[in-house]
Formats: sequence, structure tokens, C-alpha cells
Amino acid sequence: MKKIMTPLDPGTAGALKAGDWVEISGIIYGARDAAHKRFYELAGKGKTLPVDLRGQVIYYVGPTPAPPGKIIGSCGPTTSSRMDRYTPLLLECGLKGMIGKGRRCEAVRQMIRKYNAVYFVTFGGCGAYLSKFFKKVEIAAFPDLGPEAVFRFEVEDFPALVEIDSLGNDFYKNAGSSIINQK
Amino acid sequence: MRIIAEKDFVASIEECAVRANFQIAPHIEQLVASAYARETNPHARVVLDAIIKNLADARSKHLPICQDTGMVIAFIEIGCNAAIGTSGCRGIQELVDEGIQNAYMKHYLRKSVVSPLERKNYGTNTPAIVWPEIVTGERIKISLMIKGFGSENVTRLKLFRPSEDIVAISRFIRECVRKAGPNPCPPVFVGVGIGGTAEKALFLSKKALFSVGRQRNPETAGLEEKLLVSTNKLGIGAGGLGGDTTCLDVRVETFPTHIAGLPVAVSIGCWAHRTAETSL
Repeated sequence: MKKIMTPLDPGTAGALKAGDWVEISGIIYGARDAAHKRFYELAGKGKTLPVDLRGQVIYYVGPTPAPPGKIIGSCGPTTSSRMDRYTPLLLECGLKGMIGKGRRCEAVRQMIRKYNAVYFVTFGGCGAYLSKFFKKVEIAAFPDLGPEAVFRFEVEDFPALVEIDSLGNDFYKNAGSSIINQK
Repeated sequence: MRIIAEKDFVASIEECAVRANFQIAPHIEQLVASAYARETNPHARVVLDAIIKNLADARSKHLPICQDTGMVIAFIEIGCNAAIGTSGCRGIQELVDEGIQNAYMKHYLRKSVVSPLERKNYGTNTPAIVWPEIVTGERIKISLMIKGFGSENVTRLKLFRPSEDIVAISRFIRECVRKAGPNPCPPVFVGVGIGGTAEKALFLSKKALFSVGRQRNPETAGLEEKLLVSTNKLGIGAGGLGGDTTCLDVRVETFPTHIAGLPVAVSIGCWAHRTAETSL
């Protein structure tokens, strides 16, 4: 288990290999479908994003509301492929890491390699367990989107696996999950 | 005619929705535990270990098992000698929705239901998908499923030619699981509907998901067991990281169809297959 800190510097991203388990500490941003659409529209018009993505990591999540006495509810990953169409532009804006679950498309894999970025996956359907790695939660942008707002999380030792490394190696290909290498 | 009070019906819906979101049914948990016990892939073991810890955390911390608290599917079987004593101005959809709304508002569950085109969220997680059915008897049976959309988005329907055999159908079902791969949170549950019309096959595939982990119907048991073996040979494994268990159970429901057709629908349930039942 490798311990890494955010924001991701090029050395950290470059040292991670597909199949490595990591524990992520620092700030990560929560954003999913609706927030990605807004990011994409803003960046497409050349406007400044409400969050400076350079070196940052986005976690694809829409948490449940925090119950009294807790800072966050259940907060596991959502399916990453729905963000594929927006991801290349965000990588161009400096995004360095993404955490989600499931496959990425070929275009995203190539862009991850081009921009020396990393795609992590974490435990799907384990939002109650993952909540314990969250130390601080605030809304960073688009509060009107409710569970789809952009969140700024402080996490400590958040567990994930490197699915696509900065060289474009795809761990799922070794794991029977790829549709490319199957008959 | 047996009359069930409106408030009792609504309270039962609420209770089932809460129970399903926070506690997995024992027969489902048993399947997950046995998958962990026999898993040999180290990555899959890490995932299954997290899954088991997650179930314990959900229970002890009263946090939802998954942040995708789903769209609620409600199968309501109403005995023909039973009735809900409503005030007269609300139908079954409104009564189910009241119970769902109560559960989601009171228990800090995520409201994920939006209008389809404007994507407007009314903040109640309603309407639910309600499938009432009039059956014999004098009881009302409620079966709720919390359907996350990571798994719903990989649902498939294929309208086979009637000349196709079970080999082709089995290949299609296996392909559905393979193409879904890591996306619907494997190890998965597979519900298959064979026959009827297109929408009937889809309906049956959802209905089949209610019976996973339970006693098999002898008529479909052989096919289900074969499909379980073949999908597990895919090697997708827990979290899609490879491993021995890709599929925890398969159920098939059939219905007569037309001489010109053979609809087959496949619905996938994530490992966190959240259902709750009660009888009134």
C-alpha cells in the first residue's frame, strides 16, 4: 500500500503503476454528472472554472446527506464512464487524478497518458465504509445541484487502486474486465 | 373483504425502504460471505473484505449501504379479498410515494429521482416504480427493491428469432455480464426474463432479481446453475479486479410468447442487492 498526497505532482503520478493499491491523503474534489457538464460548458467557452483543477484529483461521488453528528453520509464511487465525454477537456485544464469505478473509454486512456495523469478505482457500493476516511467536507461550487454539487473533501488514507497509470496501462485488461482482450 | 388501513400500508412501505437501505437481507449477505470465504484472488479479497466491513459499518453507524439509494421499485401484490382503506382520493402510486418520501426525508437518504429531460430534482426520491398485481387471497405483500443506476444502466433486451436455441440465449446473457464488466459493482446478481412481449420480458427480469439467493424453481434451476457457472468463468471478479466470483446468483423467469418471437431481457443487480419484503 503506497501513501500518496494530493495535489498530485508529476513525480508521484509517474511513480504509480496500474494495479498498485494506494492510500490518498489531502484535498480531493467531489463531482459527478451535472457538475462535469457545467465544467465542460464553462471551459468550452474559455471561462474560468470555479475550482482550479491543476494537480487536483476529482472523486466521482454524490454522497447521501450527512446525518446529525456526522460530516458526511454514505459516499462511495459512481460509474466513471459517464464522465468520459467531459474528461479530456478537464485533463487539459490540469486535472491530474480521478477516482471512480469501472472502465474508461479509449480516448480517456490516451489522454491520461498524454497528460501524465492517473485513474483510480475504489470500492463500489461501500459508501458507509469509505465515509470514515473523510475528515472535512465543504461545498466548493454549484450548491444548487444538491448531491451533484462540487465538494471539497479532506481525506486521510482513502483506499484506491491504480486502474490506469500515467503510461496508459489499464489494470482491468489483466483482470478479465476488459472487453478489448476478450473473444 | 379485508381492509388494511391506509396509514398501515404507508408505514410498511416506509419501513421496508429504510430496512433495505441500511441492512442487506440475510440470504444476500450469506452469498457475499461465502464468496469471500472461497475467493483466491488477492485483489478480489481486498474488495470483498471492504464489502463485508461496509455492511457492518452501515448497520452500526446507521449509514446507507450505498450512496446510490436508488430509484425504488415496488411490487405490490394485493389479494382480491383485500383492500386499502383510503380516504378515496389517493391511488396506490400516491400511497407508495408517501412511504418512500417519509423514509428518504427522515433517514438522510439521497434523493436521486429527477424529471427526465430538465433533470429537475424535487427532493423526495419519488415517484417510485410501482407494479401492482391482483392475486388470490386476502393479504397485501410488499416487495421493495432499491435499484441503483450503476447496475440499471447495463440492462439489456434482445428480441431473438423464435428459432434461436438456449445456447444462443445463454451466450447473450453471459455477454451482458461480460460487457457490463466492472461497472455495475460486481459480484453481481443476474435476473433474466424470457418470453412474453418486450416489456413483459424486462418486467420478468426485475421480478427474477427478487428471488436470488432463495429456493430455485425446479423448472429453471438447471439453466440458472449453468449460467452461474458460465458467468463466473468470465473472471471479472469483485470490483472487476479479477477473481473467482463474478456472479453471486442467477434467476430466470419465463412466460409464454408469440410464435414469431422470443424476447429475452437481462437485469443486473449490484452486490449490494437491497430488497425488503413485508406482508399485511
